[in-house]
Amino acid sequence: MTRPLPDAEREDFAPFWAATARHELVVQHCPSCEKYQWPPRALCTRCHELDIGWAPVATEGFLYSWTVVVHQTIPAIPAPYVVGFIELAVGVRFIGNVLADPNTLHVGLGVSAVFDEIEPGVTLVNWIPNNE
Amino acid sequence: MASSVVISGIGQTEYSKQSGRSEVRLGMEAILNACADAQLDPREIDGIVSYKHNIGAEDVFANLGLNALRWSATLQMGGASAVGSLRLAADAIRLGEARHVVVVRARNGFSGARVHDRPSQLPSQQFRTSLETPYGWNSSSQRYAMIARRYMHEHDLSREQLGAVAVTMRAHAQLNPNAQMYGRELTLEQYLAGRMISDPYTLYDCSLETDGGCAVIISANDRSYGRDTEAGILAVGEGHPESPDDLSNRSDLLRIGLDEAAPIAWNEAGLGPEDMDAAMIYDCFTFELLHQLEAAGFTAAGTSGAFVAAGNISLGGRLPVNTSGGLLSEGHLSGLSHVIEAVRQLRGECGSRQIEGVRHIAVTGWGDLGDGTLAVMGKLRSRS
Repeated sequence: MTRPLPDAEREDFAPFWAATARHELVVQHCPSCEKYQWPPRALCTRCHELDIGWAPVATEGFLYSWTVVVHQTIPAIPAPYVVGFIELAVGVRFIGNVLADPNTLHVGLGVSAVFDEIEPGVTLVNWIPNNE
Repeated sequence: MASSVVISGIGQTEYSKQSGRSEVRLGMEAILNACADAQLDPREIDGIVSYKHNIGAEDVFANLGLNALRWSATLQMGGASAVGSLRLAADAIRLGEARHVVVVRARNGFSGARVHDRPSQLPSQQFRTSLETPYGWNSSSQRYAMIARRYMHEHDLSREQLGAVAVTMRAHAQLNPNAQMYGRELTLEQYLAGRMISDPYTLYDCSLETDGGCAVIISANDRSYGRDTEAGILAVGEGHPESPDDLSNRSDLLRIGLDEAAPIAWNEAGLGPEDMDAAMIYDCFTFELLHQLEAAGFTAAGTSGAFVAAGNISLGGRLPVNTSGGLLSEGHLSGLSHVIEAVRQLRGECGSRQIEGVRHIAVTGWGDLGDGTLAVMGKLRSRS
């Protein structure tokens, strides 16, 4: 059983996975209208700038919503586990596993990124609650 | 809509966990049944709105020998496509581009590839493979649970209220011998003890996996299809959420395609939610039924749970919903079964689950990551 992993060399995601390998987060950033954009798209969806670039963002945010997966659907990922939407100050949201007791979760919970190198070149991003 | 367009024929197979035959065969049976219902020779079908996920247009042309077929279209709205297809078909008929348009759904949804094993049919697969599946987020129940949990933060919603949806659908199915859950009642206590799938969704919050087929034929109301009363398509609206290929980065996760589709349909029909005698709501999950009651305008935001728990969507209630048992308890045929039930109600063919005096019914569709459609259907006199 191999865990499903992203193709870190896909052109549209490569800058992101290169950043996570350095334990950093980047998202698309439009040089024309300053929009931070995620997930990556072919152009800026606000001003239609084609030459959209990348910019670093903070490695912390807060919980926007979550689910606790109990019925396992992927053989290599044992349930239960928490999947959450993490909202950053610049407005983008990441999907990731929240490494916490499900009973302690609430919208607005402050979380920080932790970087998990699954194999060389593939570093997934998970989230742990900040000490409150 | 100017001239009147009706659903002239409806047809289906049995719904089961083991059809024992191919999806194409199931689809052909449903189409032949719909043609018989409309008193049409299948070779009179000259148009099709196909669905990219099971039977394609070519399957239908080839198997039925439809040499007259001259108009085809495909709609990419997942489960919302069945209702959306009514609009394309009605437009084609009004423009004179086709006379009899077929819409068909058939699947071996249980005995074939089950829901977790099927490759995702969603758009923008790079988001699925790069950002979602690596974190174990790959099924409809898991995706829509994220929406339900957010709603529970913004509004009040109890397990008992979600349970009222499941229990009501199951009660309706007890009046429908073709329902997969016919003869299998569900109590609120059983619902509350259901095993967790993806919090807040338990087993009983999830729709069924079904083998079966259904089909409808859309035609002009300009000849007899063998009855005095027809089910007319009065208006259809289509709408899409912000970033329809991605749930995670919508400015408001609770705003869905139906929020856009409903005003279009109500305006075109000259009718509103208060004029409806029943509704068929795409109940892929319990909360999504509640969510769509609000988006279509049947209840105010945040009040649908209380509305349902008070019995309003039961037969005999203010707004009977999914009198067949719905996707939760009749079977999951990607939304076309809701259209068939609306037609039966408007024609007065529903037997023990017939709504007395029904004149107008709304039918919703939900697909992919929240695409929405709404059809307003009404009872018409046959123009024979």
